[in-house]
Amino acid sequence: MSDKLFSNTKRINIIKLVIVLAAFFVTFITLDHILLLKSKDGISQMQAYYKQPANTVDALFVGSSHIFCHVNTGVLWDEYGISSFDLAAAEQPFWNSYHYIVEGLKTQKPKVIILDITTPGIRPTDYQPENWVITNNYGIKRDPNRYESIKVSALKESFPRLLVALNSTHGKYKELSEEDFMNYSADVRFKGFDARETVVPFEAPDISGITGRYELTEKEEKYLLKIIDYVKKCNIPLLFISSPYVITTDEEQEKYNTIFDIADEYGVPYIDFNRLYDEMGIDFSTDIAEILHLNRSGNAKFTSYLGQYLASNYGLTDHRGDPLYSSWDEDALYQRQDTLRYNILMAAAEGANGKYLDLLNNRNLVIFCSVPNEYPGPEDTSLVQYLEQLGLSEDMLTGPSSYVLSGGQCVYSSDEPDFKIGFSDGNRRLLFSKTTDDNGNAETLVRTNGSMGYQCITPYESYEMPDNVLSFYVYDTVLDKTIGGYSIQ
Amino acid sequence: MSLISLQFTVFFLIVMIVYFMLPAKMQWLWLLMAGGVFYYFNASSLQCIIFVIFLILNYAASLRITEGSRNPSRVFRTIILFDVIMLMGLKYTDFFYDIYRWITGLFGHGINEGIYMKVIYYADALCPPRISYFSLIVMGYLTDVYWGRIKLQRNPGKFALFASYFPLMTSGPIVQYEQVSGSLWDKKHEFSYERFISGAQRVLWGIFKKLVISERLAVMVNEIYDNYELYPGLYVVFAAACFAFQLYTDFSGLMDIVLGFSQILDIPLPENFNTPFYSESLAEFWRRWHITLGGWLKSYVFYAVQETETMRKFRKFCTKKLGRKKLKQYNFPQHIGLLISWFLIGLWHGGGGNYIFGVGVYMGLVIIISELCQPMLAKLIEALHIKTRCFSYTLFKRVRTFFLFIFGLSFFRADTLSYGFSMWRSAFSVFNPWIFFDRSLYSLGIDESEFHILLFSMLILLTVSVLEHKYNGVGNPTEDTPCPQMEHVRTLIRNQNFIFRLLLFIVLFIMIICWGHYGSEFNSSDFIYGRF
Repeated sequence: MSDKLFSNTKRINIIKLVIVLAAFFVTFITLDHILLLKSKDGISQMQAYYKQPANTVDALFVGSSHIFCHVNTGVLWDEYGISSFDLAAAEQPFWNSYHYIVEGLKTQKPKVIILDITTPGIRPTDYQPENWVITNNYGIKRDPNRYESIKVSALKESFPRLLVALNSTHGKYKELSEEDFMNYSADVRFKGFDARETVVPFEAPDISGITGRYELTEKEEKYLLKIIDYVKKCNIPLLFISSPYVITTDEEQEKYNTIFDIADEYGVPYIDFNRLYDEMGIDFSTDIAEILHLNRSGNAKFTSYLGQYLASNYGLTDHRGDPLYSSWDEDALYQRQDTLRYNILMAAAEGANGKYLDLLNNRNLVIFCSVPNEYPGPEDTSLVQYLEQLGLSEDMLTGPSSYVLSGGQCVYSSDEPDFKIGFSDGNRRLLFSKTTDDNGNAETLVRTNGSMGYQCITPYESYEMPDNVLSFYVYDTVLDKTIGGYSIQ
Repeated sequence: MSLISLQFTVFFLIVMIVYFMLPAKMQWLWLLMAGGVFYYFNASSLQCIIFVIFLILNYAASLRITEGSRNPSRVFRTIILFDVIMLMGLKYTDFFYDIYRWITGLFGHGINEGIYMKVIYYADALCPPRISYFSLIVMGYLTDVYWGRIKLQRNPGKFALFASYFPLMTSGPIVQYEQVSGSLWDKKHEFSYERFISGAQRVLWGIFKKLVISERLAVMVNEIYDNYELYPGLYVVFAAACFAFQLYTDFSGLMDIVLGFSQILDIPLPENFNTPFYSESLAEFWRRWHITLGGWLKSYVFYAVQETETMRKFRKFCTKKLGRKKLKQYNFPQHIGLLISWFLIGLWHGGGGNYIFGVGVYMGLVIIISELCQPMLAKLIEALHIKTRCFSYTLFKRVRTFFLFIFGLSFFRADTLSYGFSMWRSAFSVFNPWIFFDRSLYSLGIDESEFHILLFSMLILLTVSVLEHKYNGVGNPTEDTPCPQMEHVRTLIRNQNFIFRLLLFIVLFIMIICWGHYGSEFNSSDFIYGRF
């Protein structure tokens, strides 16, 4: 009897111990997940990659920010139907690229792997700063590959600390947001592309005279050869690219020359895009975001040229229309809308009223328009036609009134300057509200009912609403974000 | 290998799993091996060799003391002298060199700074880590053997295990042979779920104290101490108070971790803290703070000094001059022993005037003076009709003790003795109470939200200490429960439902993960008492 009792107690204790250990493990993993940086510098790319349907990625791009800022996956899809993914991280060295390829080939069988080779030129070091070690590694699932990747990235004394992500990320508890719990960016629709938007004019670098060679470090060469060897073993074509940016020193190009020599030696094709500015139509006065990256205009030209090369050399199937690849449709739509958002902001900044209104004519935008009391109509009468395209006819331009425009139609109107309306865009319900204070400043708020119920997209955004102007406030239903306010005399 | 690290966690899990799978005869051997590995990871090869030589010599001496020597007293004195020279020579080289420099300076001679730097460098390279702990542990053992208090440990492996049991090779506690010999090798240790959970909880609690409270306090303390010219007046008092809590949560947190790990292995260790901030006098405070160091000095220094021939003669001389009654009242011989002990406590904490004064002689003097003033104070209390059996008087005594303590302790944190005095001069140069109201405290390196986290965490600490104090005096210390009041707090938790207990510790775990100061920006693996 006592033996039985003892064994029962022992059994219960074992169960309790398992529960305790499991509870601590689950807590640890959950905290690790919530506190992880939701960074589009590498972590979100890898996390989204895991969500891609198996064997759907045809062109796998690996490398540094020159991949995720330059290769517009939406353009590749829209123009060539290529299903591609930018599996890249900021300043990615070859050792991380190697482990990214190993990770990437666990779930996908791409038709071609394109490796960006610019990091050894830009960041010639065997050990990256810790912030890049973090973005290059913490997106990878916990497995031996991640362990090896961190080990080769970190200095010996930092390795044990970097092995546990929470050592670097736990301070994030102070700035937790909805994104940290829901991780929207690591979604199947995200294909890794993250554009830069500034425009900084530069002079095009002339590298035609740089023919010298600069040695790779032992570690760089070792992992470059490992990549060549591994991809060859997997029987997948490999392509090296050096994408366009403002090369400032001879050593950078000399490193690329050395890499191209190795490519020649091992029979790996390569493209040096820094010798093809004219062919791509890259204009350094308008297409550069900053010294290292192309902007929206630049990456569209670069991707279009690269896509042409890939489509004609690797027999990539045009998957457009295939339901299995619908997430690429969504990504392309997202990229188009994001470009549109950028163009709308540019038009607003330039004060180009006609261009601004023309760009608003997009079925994925919801526009709030306020007409002031005794509004005489736009000074520039040519704008009337653009307003009509949006669903705002001339007889509606008598205030005070407020309108909600969508798909070229007025879906709501009110004689009050302030309103609060519910509206459905087909996919979800939206709630808009606008309040105006005594000084004529307006505040607008947009909420959607996402999977978590109603959630605030914008905090109350305040903007000035002068007299005698038409005020616009734009919300993009695809991007799920507002594009700000604008007014027209 | 810090106790708060992934490496140590993996190391401990391996040690624990294998330990409980081994038969009783092998368990202590496994612990000895683990101690060797642990020490190897924390020391250079040369330091390991010196540590082993130290153990061999002391073991051989212990054999010679009990048998084989015609003059055991000489062997005992020689080995103790060797241990003291080794400890002083390697650990306090800079202190003695500074004294030498000072003396030569008096005669107008300088010293060769190049040689000075070399000596310091080599002493540091040769000094085995944790020498301040294991040398005291071994010297205590030899003294007990010499005095015939304990039986000689003939097995060199068991002797080595006693001196190098790995949880002790961090920062103590400074154990005496009889406190651990029974559990280190004399019984079969079985894995127990309750003990594992209880030990793990204690480890978590220690980590919470260290990473969440101590490290946050350290930010403010460092800011004020490093720039005290910018922070005069009450900032200094605030920093001194914060440092007292920083040191308490750092050291007692470390002890919780050490004792928790050891508890999991079924080897109970003596407590080193017993709610010291509830003390009503400085003497009582030190009986509750770093208990094992005080106990060691009391057992092996204070009584030994009292029993020396010189002290006997001095006592006789005092009796003759003062008479028995006055001697009992002023007790100079005892006070001399006390001062020597306090000097050694100060010296043990570090070779520097600030340590010797702040946590040594000053504390001893305050204790002696308060003892001498006791009759006068009693008369004053009686004359003024002050109620002493009430909360307000107890509170007054606790607050008084706290301020007496933090004054001395503040020198511990100061770089030098003169630095410490400069700080206190600056403390009395300005009266600036507004710093507690105008958000000035939020600019000491931790922002408002961090400050609130600190206050909340200290509130948790206070709650636990109130409970510990509530149970003070309930139950008698035993080998298994050396600190019964702490055990009562844990029993209180143990008596709750499983789910509640689990949630309690999951919440503690989350607080440590989120609020803990660890990772690349912090040096959280550094314990203040880990330096000794």
